[in-house]
Amino acid sequence: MYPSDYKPAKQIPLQSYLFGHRIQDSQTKYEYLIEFLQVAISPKAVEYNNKHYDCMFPVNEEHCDNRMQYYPVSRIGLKRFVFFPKSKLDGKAAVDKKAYEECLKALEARIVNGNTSQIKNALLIIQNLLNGFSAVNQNRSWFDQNMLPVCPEVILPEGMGIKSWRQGMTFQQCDPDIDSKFDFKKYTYMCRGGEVYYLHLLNAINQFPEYKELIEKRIREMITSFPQFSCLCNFVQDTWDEFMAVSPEDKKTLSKDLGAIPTSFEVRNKYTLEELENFLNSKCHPFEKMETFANGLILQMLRMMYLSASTEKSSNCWLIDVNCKGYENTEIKKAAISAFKRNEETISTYLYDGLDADKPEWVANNGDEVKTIKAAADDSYRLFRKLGKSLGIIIPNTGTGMRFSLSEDIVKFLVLSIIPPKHMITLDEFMDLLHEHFGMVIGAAQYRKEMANNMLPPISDLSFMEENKNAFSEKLKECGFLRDLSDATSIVENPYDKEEE
Amino acid sequence: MNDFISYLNSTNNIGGNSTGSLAEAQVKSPFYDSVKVERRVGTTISEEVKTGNYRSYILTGHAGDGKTSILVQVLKSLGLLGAGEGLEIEKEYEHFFYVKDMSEIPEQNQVELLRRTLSAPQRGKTGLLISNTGPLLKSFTTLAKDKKTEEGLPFEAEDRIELQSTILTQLDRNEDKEITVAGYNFVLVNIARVDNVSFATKILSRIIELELWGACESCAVADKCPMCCNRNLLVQHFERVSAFIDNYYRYLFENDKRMTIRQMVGQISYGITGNLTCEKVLDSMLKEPQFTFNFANLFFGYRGLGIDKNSTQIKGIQHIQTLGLDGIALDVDYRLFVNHDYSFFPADIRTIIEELSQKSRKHFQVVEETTEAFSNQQARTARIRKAIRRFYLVFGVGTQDYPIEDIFNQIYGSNYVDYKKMITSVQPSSMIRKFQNVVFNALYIKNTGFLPASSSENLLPLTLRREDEVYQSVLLVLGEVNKSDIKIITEKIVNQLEDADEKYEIYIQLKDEKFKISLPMIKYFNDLIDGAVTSNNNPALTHGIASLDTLLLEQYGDVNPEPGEDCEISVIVNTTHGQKIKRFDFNGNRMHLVD
Repeated sequence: MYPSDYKPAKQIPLQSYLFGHRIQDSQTKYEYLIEFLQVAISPKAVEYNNKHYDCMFPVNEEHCDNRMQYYPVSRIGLKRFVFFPKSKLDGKAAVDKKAYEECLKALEARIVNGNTSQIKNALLIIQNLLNGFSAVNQNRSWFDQNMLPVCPEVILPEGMGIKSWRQGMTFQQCDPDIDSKFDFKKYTYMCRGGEVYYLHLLNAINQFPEYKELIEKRIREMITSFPQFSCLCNFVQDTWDEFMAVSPEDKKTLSKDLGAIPTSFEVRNKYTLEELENFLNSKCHPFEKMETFANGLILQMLRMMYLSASTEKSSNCWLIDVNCKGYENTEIKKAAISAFKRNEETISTYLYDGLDADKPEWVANNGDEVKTIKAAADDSYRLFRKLGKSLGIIIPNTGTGMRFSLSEDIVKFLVLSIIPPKHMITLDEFMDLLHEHFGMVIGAAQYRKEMANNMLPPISDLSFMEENKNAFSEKLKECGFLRDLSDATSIVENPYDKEEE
Repeated sequence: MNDFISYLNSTNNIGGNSTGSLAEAQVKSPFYDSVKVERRVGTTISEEVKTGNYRSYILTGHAGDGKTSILVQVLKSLGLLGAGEGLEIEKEYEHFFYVKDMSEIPEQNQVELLRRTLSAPQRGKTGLLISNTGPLLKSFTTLAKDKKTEEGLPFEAEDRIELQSTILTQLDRNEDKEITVAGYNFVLVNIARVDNVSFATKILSRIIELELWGACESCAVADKCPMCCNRNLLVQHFERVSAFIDNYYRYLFENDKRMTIRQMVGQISYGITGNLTCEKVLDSMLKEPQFTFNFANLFFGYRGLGIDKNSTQIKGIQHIQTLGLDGIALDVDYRLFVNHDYSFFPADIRTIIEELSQKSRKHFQVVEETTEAFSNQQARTARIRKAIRRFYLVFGVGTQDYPIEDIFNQIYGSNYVDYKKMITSVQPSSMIRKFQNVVFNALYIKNTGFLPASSSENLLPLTLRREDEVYQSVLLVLGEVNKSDIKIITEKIVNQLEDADEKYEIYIQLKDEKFKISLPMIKYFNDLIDGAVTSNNNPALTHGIASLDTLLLEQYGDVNPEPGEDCEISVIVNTTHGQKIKRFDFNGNRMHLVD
């Protein structure tokens, strides 16, 4: 595992051991990104030797061997202000209702140059402005909501408002519990998916430290593009903090433990960094970048996990049915469905092999073998299905015939991460690189490579893969990344300029 | 019998004989000189050889783009190719060296020939190599690799990508400058990027030249021969028909569906002959030949009212049917289909249309709406209407109420004609202002969700918007642009490889930066103004538009406050009573409402 001396307090589930500690299915696309950013921007430390780090990705052997902690800032007052009025009734405890009303009053008192109605209206406008950047469009309690990472101040940890804890509370100024009596270790929606990605990146940067500076700089630029939000959020939170006047000694610092990831993820280290360098160097709108990053991050994680389950007998490559409108092909569809089944079998075998390696302990921990495997399957390939569907790389959304495909959003990430900004490569080269980086089999050439290593069933007539390539070419063209250059050559271009040095 | 008809029929790929479309066969054809068009790149190369300015040229492009024809043009201009003489795989003259087609050469020899072409100037000659992009990239990779090895350096994956990108970028931009790869200087020309639309009219005028049709004058059936009639119609209405053809190919070109010269010749030839032969016309009684095989039908891939399925093998016909040009409702529809007013056609075409219309009315029966006969009749009426539209699009005469220009705007989008004018000639400031208004209004609605409240609105707020389905009732304003700062400019393309006499590119000038506007983008802007699309409907445009957003923000975004610094925030509030801009000033720990 990474960190190397990772010793869990109790026996961890099989799936966490095999795929990282740990990811679950309730986490949505943006919450992976938010959780990752949250770890990245928080101060970190290795507690046993009291070593502290302020940068995003410390390059140091200490934390490669020792589990880390990070210290996010909760900013409950801000979260309550943004989400309380438009959230599920269920989570609205009386104490929070009162706190919310007090917060409004405190803010009103800080607004000058207007009558009461204008002031109230101004607060509503700010609330609506911030609420418009809600990351999850679901009916959740206010404390479970998150904002898109438009500024560092809104990258907040999850704090569950446990009903029994909050029901009996009464509001009082100076009471630290008003904002801190939440369960910050519940992992209901921020289920450590972002932590797993952070650890992967940390591991990668420690292996290739030359990427550290650039990646940190670009991530920081991305989340600090709109300082107006920082100004607004600080106004709300600072006003609230001053109103509450909790004494410094009563204030609780939030501390969270970073888990661990299997060392098998390391095979993707170099690829992840190369892809991030190209992607983050592409000068697109910061907002567009966040959205594409959220997709790409999950894609990279999925590939990493499929790859760690691969064996000498299965490269776990992804046979892609491009499925572009007007270019549908039943042969590739059938081949992709059966390849997808083999992918899942490979993961299933990986789970059983993992169980066999340490059977008595797992069983002792989880009751019986069936339960252990079921839980592991739920948190691995069944979860991968859900994630893949949310990205559009697994189709169809419902029903039978699941297979790998490519959505427009993912095509965008692939182009931006494989091709350096303002560069062009041929379509054939692009497909080869997709195969090398993500194990994607799109054209006949990639199929032949996998076939030669006995990873895909032998087929003599690969003309359907040529049609699949045509479909891919059309999809890239529709997305504006491909142009027919001359004769049979098409070029794939990353059209964005390079971000300034 | 007219041999030229057989030649025309061999220029498309319907039927067994398409030899006329092959450049090498064309070189030997007696009709080659009659229909050929001179290319500027060919003229440039031969002039350079004549003046002793020796350079290396590499020519690439789509099959049928006229690469071999350029070589032939150069050779003939230098007096190196006699009538009826064929080409060789490679040939070295005193001051000229050529490689006809790199793909015809065994792979192991390709690099050597590339080297010989690139080093030709050192031997006192111009080198011209024609190649497909695939073998070219491969050979250059080997050259670059060899060079690195000579220098004792490794050739990494990044080197390969960098090399590919250099060559592909030039092939994409097609600039008339020398580039340097692996230590060699050369001009890399991609014929597929040359604007060839103007050739369509030139080809048409060559094809209908009297000398090529002389044999038909003595033909007994010339009067009823649809091919002859089509040729006569095209002579008679040359300006109008060429306007239609030119605009059609222009539209395809601007929408990244460029036609090669071979494809244009194929479609125009098919439009004239319908692949009929003199024998066929002499031996059979063709039904309604003037209508069925009319150019207006054949050019669209129709024989009479029905589609000729084989004709879709011709690229231009495939495109025209996909676009469904004859299915688009026109302003003139009511007059044509309800009033049966055919005064919009020239006399000879009017006769054909009137016959068609009368025949259709004669056969019209009152039938029950639920019967099959009724739906058949409906379908037939629709087919007739489409046919009439085809004739109108190709031959229709403009009137004060229904000017010709409007037809093109109706089928290609409301600013098409203006766009075409902008890219082909210098336009008055009123036209520039018109484009400025379109861009301003489109950006306004994209940024705020509303059109400007009045035409005097001159400030464009740049907002932070989500592109997903989540509704934002309040938008953060990141900057403002004055309408007068959104300058529309056109720049003349100066490129000796281009064939067009005068061509301009349209840009939005934002301070020191420029943003190129394409026809699809203008259409997208218009659609936005009409409320027809959301930004995600056309992914090909999405990142183009996103780049414009980024550029606007970069040039006109407010200066961001430093962390901890006081700042002013502007927001747009969408209310039921319209939009309001609110400003908040953060000063110390207070927020001031600014009016």
